[in-house]
Amino acid sequence: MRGLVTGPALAVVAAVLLLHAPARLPAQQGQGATPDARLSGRLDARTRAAVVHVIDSAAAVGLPAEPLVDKALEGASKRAAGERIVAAVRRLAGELGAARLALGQRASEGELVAGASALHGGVRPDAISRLRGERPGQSLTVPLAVLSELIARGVSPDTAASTVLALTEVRATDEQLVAFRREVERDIGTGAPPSAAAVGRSLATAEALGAPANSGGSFVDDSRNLTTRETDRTKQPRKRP
Amino acid sequence: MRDERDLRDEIDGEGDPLIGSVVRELRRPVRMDPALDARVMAAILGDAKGPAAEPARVAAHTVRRGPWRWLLEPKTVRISPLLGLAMAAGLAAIMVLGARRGGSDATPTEFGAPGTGIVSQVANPGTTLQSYVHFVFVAPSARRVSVVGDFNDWKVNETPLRPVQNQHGVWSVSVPLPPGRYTYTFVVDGNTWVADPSAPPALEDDFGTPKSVVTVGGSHT
Repeated sequence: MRGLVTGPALAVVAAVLLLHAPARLPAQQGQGATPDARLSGRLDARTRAAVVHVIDSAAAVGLPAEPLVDKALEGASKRAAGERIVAAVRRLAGELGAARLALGQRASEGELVAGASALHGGVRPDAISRLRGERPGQSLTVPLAVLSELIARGVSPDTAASTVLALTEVRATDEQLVAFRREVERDIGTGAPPSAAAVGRSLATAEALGAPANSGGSFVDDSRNLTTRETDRTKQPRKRP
Repeated sequence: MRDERDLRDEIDGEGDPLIGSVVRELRRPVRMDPALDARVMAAILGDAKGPAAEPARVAAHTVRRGPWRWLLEPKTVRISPLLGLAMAAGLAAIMVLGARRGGSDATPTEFGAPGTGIVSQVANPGTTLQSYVHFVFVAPSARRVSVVGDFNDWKVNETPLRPVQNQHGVWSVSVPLPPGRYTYTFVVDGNTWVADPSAPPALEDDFGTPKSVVTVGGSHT
């Protein structure tokens, strides 16, 4: 017997399909346009000219424009004053330059952005360079981001850097580093001192990854309330497993 | 002992004149109104069909139920075998997609914890790894929620979140992002900027508004 489903039935099927359509949107849609075009209409002429000048100067030395444009657009969206936007873009350009010095000429944009954030948080450039040495040929975006996130949670920059470096030495993956950061956050949430939580969790993670228990600590613990091993990394470098 | 005849005489009231008169009255045939049968049947049919018994009330009832009658009454839908197969395949696809989305909504994770996080990663034909970051925000009284950040030029209305079905006050959206570190903020009802409580805060605070960080791992071009 032949026949067709009536209009209302088709409408019901269409509604079900629409309800289950994935809510996915294209990202980074503005990246194809020039910085000046993207800033046009978002910044006043004077601010835009100053920002474009900073971006052009950065591009001339090989720094990425995208993070600088994003910074300016963030300021515009938050209705910040022009001078403040220009100052923020200029500061970021300087930190991107410092990050590239620490990470090397081949650093990716993601690494530079994460490195700039770490430097902004107080991490010393040599700590970032050592991270680069521990992960040749691999992305440092996640380790650097974890480093910044630990600092944002209250871990001191030196402790954050030494714990991430120690885990990188024992070949912790990006997922393990993120899990480590989450555990530290959880400990801090339950009242643990941030730096103590970072040191404790990094020791546990390192041992779980097979690091020798008596290999000595390479952690800078300035919380000074721990019983964990503390040595100066420069005096007793950690051996890879 | 009394036999059967004695018992019948007693029932018929043979022994007592008063009882006998009552029995006779009860046995007298009852005269019925000839129209009674017709009235009873009319009442029964009226309850069943409505309009015949109480036209005004039942007509109003019918109008009130009108829109529902089409849905409630059984229908015979005729389809060709080919269309039936196509619809069955479509429904199966919907169930699979629904299960996947349901899984994402139920456990929007970054390596296992609730909240904003990476839910899937897809290898592009090139060398980059495309990740879908699932942004989740809880705002039961919000009329609309959007996410702004480094990935959408900080445009407030560019990336709206949608209410999650069957989870009151939970909003979410998935955004494809290449590897990198991104800062972002939720905007509630177009004017309230709120950092993501489930994500790490950003160190940089150049403009006095807290923001959060999501990091997508993987190799970059």
